[in-house]
Amino acid sequence: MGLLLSSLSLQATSLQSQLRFRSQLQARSDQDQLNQAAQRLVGEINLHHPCLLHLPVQDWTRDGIDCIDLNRATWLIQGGHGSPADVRTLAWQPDANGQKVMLLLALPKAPGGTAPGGTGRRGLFAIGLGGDPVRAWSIAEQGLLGAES
Amino acid sequence: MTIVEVTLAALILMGSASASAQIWASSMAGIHNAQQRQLALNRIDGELILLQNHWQQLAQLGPLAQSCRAASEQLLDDLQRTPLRSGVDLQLTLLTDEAGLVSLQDHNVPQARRDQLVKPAALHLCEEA
Repeated sequence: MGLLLSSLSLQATSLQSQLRFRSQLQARSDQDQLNQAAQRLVGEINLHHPCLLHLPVQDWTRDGIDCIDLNRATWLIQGGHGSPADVRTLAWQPDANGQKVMLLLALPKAPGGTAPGGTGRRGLFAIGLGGDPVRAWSIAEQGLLGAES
Repeated sequence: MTIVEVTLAALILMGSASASAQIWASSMAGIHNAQQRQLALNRIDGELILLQNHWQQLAQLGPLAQSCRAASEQLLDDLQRTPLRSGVDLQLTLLTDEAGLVSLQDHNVPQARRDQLVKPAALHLCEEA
């Protein structure tokens, strides 16, 4: 009886660790996708639309922004740049002294919940600015957040 | 208790003991594998952090090249020479959009893999597409 009980509890532990491994893999793959999107977005802005560096994302589609047109800005926000996933830009928030930007990106969310369509997880990044003319020169992951509810 | 009952009880006891032992053995193997998988994940995560630090440090020195394609090639060349811990495979791919894909995979646990993209334009390692 003791042997049976202990073997069953061991089996439960082993199944639990398999599930944990699977969710760790998913988290890493989400992190990698968000990171790829951050690199692509920041690269695009540095090269082609540097005036966005100091503008919060709400202002990207405003009239009178000279380094980008409306279509292109919408495309950047809605994640055209984030191949393979359509990663949306939820926030691009420059700080007061113009040296840092907080970037928040979100993976697409599958209607039914989790993978394979997308987990909807969000990634927070700190973008360092510097140089003259000012460009982004560092991207640091600040953490992986759950999906928006 | 008749001899039939005793034999039957002994058979049931033996059967259940052997089944338990089998479950026990397979669970122990499962737990051992889980430890191996965890170690593999830690290994590739550690290597990834080293590589990331490496390109962040490069970025502090200023642009590698004027063109982003040349900068990507130079960056991948540089990463190729970075020493890696044994048991981890590094694969570097130059993508068409002037980015490099850095893939790390564990030898023993192939599911443990990271695919990180590094785009020189995003780190101001180059100045034109």
